[in-house]
Order: sequence, then structure tokens, then C-alpha cells
Amino acid sequence: MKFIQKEHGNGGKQTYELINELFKPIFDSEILKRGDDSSIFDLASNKIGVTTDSFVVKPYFFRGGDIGKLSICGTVNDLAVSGLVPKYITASFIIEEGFPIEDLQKIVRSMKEYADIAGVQIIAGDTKVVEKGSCDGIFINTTGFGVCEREEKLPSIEKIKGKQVVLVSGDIGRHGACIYSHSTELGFEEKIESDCAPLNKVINELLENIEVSYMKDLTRGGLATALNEIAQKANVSIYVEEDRVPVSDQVKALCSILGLDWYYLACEGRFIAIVDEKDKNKALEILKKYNKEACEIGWIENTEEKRVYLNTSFGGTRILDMLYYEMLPRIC
Amino acid sequence: MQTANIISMIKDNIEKIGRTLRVIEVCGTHTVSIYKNGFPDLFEGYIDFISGPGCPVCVTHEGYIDRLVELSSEWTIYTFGDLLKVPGSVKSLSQARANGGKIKIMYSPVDAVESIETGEKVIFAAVGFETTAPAFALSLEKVIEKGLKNVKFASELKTIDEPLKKLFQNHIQVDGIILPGHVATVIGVDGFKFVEEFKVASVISGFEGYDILLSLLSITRDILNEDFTVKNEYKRVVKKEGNLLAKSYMEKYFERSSAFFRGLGLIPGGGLKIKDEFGEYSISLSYDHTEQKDTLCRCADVLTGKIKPFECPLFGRACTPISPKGACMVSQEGSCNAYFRYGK
Repeated sequence: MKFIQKEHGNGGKQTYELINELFKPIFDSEILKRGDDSSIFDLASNKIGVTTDSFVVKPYFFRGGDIGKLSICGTVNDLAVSGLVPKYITASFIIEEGFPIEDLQKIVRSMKEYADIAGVQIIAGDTKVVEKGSCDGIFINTTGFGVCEREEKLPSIEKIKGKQVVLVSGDIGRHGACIYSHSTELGFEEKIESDCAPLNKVINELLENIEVSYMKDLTRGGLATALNEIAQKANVSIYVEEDRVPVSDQVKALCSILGLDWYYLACEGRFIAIVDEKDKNKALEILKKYNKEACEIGWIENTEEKRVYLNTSFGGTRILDMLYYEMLPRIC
Repeated sequence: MQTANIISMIKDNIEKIGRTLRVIEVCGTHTVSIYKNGFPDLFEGYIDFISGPGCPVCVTHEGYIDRLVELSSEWTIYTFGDLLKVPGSVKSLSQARANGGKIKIMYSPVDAVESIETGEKVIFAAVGFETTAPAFALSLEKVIEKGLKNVKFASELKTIDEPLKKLFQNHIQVDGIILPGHVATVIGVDGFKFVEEFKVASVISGFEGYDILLSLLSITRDILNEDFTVKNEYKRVVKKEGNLLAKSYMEKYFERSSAFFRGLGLIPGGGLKIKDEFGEYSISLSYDHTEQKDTLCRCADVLTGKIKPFECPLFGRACTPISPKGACMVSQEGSCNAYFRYGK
């Protein structure tokens, strides 16, 4: 078993070997292979989008993914829900000395696999090695570039209006529940599978076929937080029917044991789409091709309150607020 | 029975009774379930829901937190997560941890014993009612079996009967009480027989929305029938005599003591302390029990049903889940917190 040492980050021979023997062969990118200080590339578009994100999830291998897959999917999804076609990604690694090189290879291979699935190229990177105890295993930062291919169809918060419907692309809360289920302190024997996945293909098909007013991927803070952000930014209220929100029995059981609320649990492969009533059926037809749990969960109301309301199974109504309390594990 | 039918039966019964009912629940999990399921909205004009002193975090005195914070520089404090953010007079355990205090979150005190490192000086912050007391008793037994020295229990454990008696003796105006299902699993239906003397409709309830609806139906029926015997709507879990093994563990290691409850003050017999024969495993965190007078926080009045959370001058302004001023806003099962998050 080989481990990352301080020398792997000093810019010398071992750094050179790590880059040339591990990163470059796996990422297999022509631009990256040039090894220049900057990667030069073409993006033929009037509108270009950029997003950046850091990943510190613990554990870095979890059921349904790992920190590498997450770092690609997270950035691809941020571009995709903005209506952009993801093209290029950069990857920066901060690695703690003593980290197993075998684990690093697995993570890097996973990044390559999901970059290929999402159709993006990894074109630049960086590696830093820090002393034992300075970071928790491995942290990754990715920056993504995407192009706008349908400017007239670009989703935007201004397009949201009353009576439009809110769709969700699948069952919620899986990623957050997955990380909780891995907690050694809790001792769950059955690990819940994360929903971590790239969303650009389903979103691309959606945008090709219908007008989508707005989209948002459900990450930290879960469905409730995403809906509240939309209500605030769009100056509308959103009504959600509790009975329609898809949640797996496993996630429900975990929430019941730990006193968690699935509306606030993170997803890493789910998004909400706001569309006109007339486009709802077509949109759902497309969403269900990718995930049979996709469904309509609520609607938009033009009110000044900027609130999210949940109509409960029992016929009462309550506020579905933003996340206020601390979620203890590092989820992404 | 169909949910819609139960709801209409509850409302029909209340219409027969002819007034809005005041129903108190004394368990934080019930508080959350009631708000989460939108019952205050569903039964508006029919039932006025009040949250009593049954959330262990909410009734904990800041003096206890202060002492744990002080000790965390020298001892490792094992605590449940929901105690982390309770404000002490200077800082919370969460802030103490950020400043280098040795504080670990435990999910089970029994499992936590297994993770104590050799030579580690540990204090278990033992909080909760009869629901958690047996687990602390069992963990104490494990500590003794393993011959661990330098492990102490700071018992702030509470009992449910004495504070409820005090609440009724203080003439709280309620028509019905939803009794805590988790405590009842330990002390049984028999453990709540004392409630009957106060002539209030009472029912031991589970925690799902449907459980609570059945309990509300039971309360309305009992009021109509003037039947004040304790009912058990959580039969799938709660037995008449309770959990005999859990009770035997409690009795082996703990004895009754006085305990401070926010809103109710010092209550003789309202707490559990480690028996003298196991005194070497106990650390007494003495603190001044006098209530803070220089604060606008009305947690004490919320916990005793005198006011609603939104009637507190701090609610939603200076006091929110992000910057809580009182324990009822800190705890996710506190009534202010639940009202803030779920209230309409």
C-alpha cells in the first residue's frame, strides 16, 4: 500500500510523477496533457457560464458514489439547471499526507467516468499536499464552464409566475440520508444509496422539448431550502402537497429514527423544474423516462408573502421554512 | 378508521362540548408532530395547543451548561447533540467546542462507553426524563464492569410526575393532556395514574399524526363522558406496567432528588441522582437555581402554558433558531422552535 507523502506536493520529482502517472493517464484529456500553466480552449457561444464548488464530504466513499463522482456531478448539475451545456471542468485537490494512493486512483477514475457520462472534459488541475491533521483526507474543488445553446430558452427567475406548477425529478433526501447512514456512531447496517448523478441529459431533453421557467438542483438544505430561495427571489408563494412529495421508505425510516426532516435532507441528483400547466404532462413524460418517481408536487401563487406552504396529509397547512438547524455531518 | 372521519368526529365532539379546548402536550416530539402535521391550522377555533415542560433541553438551567463549559477544558464532555446550542450565561457547549473545549456528541450513552479512550477523563451530561435514564444506568453499569476510572455522570435527569403535579397544582387551565409515549414505554400506564386526581382528560399517545388524532378523539370523548381515567392510545408499545427491566436499572443506580425545571423552579423529587453507593461515578454540578430576571425571554411562561410563543417579545426578532435566546427556541423539539419553523 502506497501513501501520499509531503513530497508529492513540493513541485519536484514526486509531484511530476503523481501528475504524469496518475492524473494525466486517467483524465486522458488532450488539453491537460499539454501541461501548460494555463489551458487554452474554444467556447463558441455568446453566453458562457462558470460555476465553482468545493467538496469535503465525509466519508469520501459512500454507497452510490464517492467524493470524485460528487465533485463532477455537483458542478455539472449547477451548470445544467442554469440552462447551460457543461463543456469543461477543472479539478483541484488538497490531500492530507498519508492518504492511500489507491483511494486517490479510485476517486480520480470515478471523476473520469462521470465526466465522460456527462460529456465534459477535465482540462486543468492542481494538487496540494498538507500535513497530517491539516485536512480530513481529501478535499476537491471543481470549476465548470458551460455554454448557452438556446438563449431564448434560458430559464430565469423572472419567468416564474402564478399558477405554474412545480415538478421534482425524483424521490428526495437520498444523499443526505446516505451520509447519515454511513455514520459509524449510528451503526446502521443498511446503507442508503445516494442519488448522486449528473442531470445534464435529462435537463437537455427537457429544454429541447418545452419551455422551462426555472430550475434548481436540490443540494444542501434540500427541497425546502430550494423552494424558499425561489419564493424569495421570485416574490411568489409556493404551495406543496405533502402527499405528492416522493420519499423512499428507507429515507423515511432513517428520518424517523434520527428526528430529521426529509424536506431538508440534501440530494445530489435531483432538481425541481417550474413549468406552465400546459407543459406539465410533456415535462413529466420526459422526467419519468429518467426516474419513475418524478412528479408534480405543487404550484406557484402570486402573493407578497414569499412563503412556502405545505398542505399536510391531514388537511392542515403549515409553513415549510428554510433550514435553520445544523446538519452535523459533512455531506458534500 | 379513515383520517377524515376521525377529524370530523373530533370536531363534532368539540361542538357538542361547546367551547374551544385547551390541550397540553408535554413531549417535544409531540410538539413537533402537532405543528409538522398542521394541526393548529386544521383545528383552528376547536383546539388551542399548549406545549408543556417535557422537552429536557428546554427545562435545563443555564447554570448546568455553564458548569459543563468550565469543565470541558479538563474533561471530555459526552452530550446529546440537542444540548450543544443551549445558551449558558457566557457561552454554549457548541461555542466552547469551537474554543477548544473537549466536547463529543453521543447518540447512545451505552455505545459511548465503548469509545472512551484509555486514560480519557469523561463526564456524561446525563439529561432527559425516564426515557433516557435507563440508558445512563446501563452505561454506568458498563463503566463499572470495565473498571473505568475517571468517568463521571453529571445527572440532570428528570422525572415526569412531579413537574406535571406542580403544573396542575399551579392551576394550569387545560381540558386535556397528551401524555408522552416514550416515557410511558418505561413507566407504563400505571406510572401516569396520578394524573387522574386532577380531573383532566388524559391519554398516552404515539407520535405519528394518526396517533395524535386518535388521542385527540379520546380526549374529546372523555370530556363528553366526564371520564378522567388515563387512556392508552399507544398500546403497540406501552404496557400497563411499563418496561420492568428498564425500571429495575433505574432503581438500581438512581434515586429521587430535587431538580430545577425552567418555568417551574426547584421541584422536590423531580430529578434522579446517582445513589450514594455509586458516588465515585457522580459529579455534582451545583449552580444557582434562581431564575434569570434580567431577560425578556418568556420561555418559562411558554412552558407553563401562560403564553403562546409568538406572544414573547423576543420571538422571531431577537430570538430565532439561528440566534436563540431561550431554550425553547434552541431545541428542535422546543415549542418556540416548532412554532417558528412550522407555524402559519
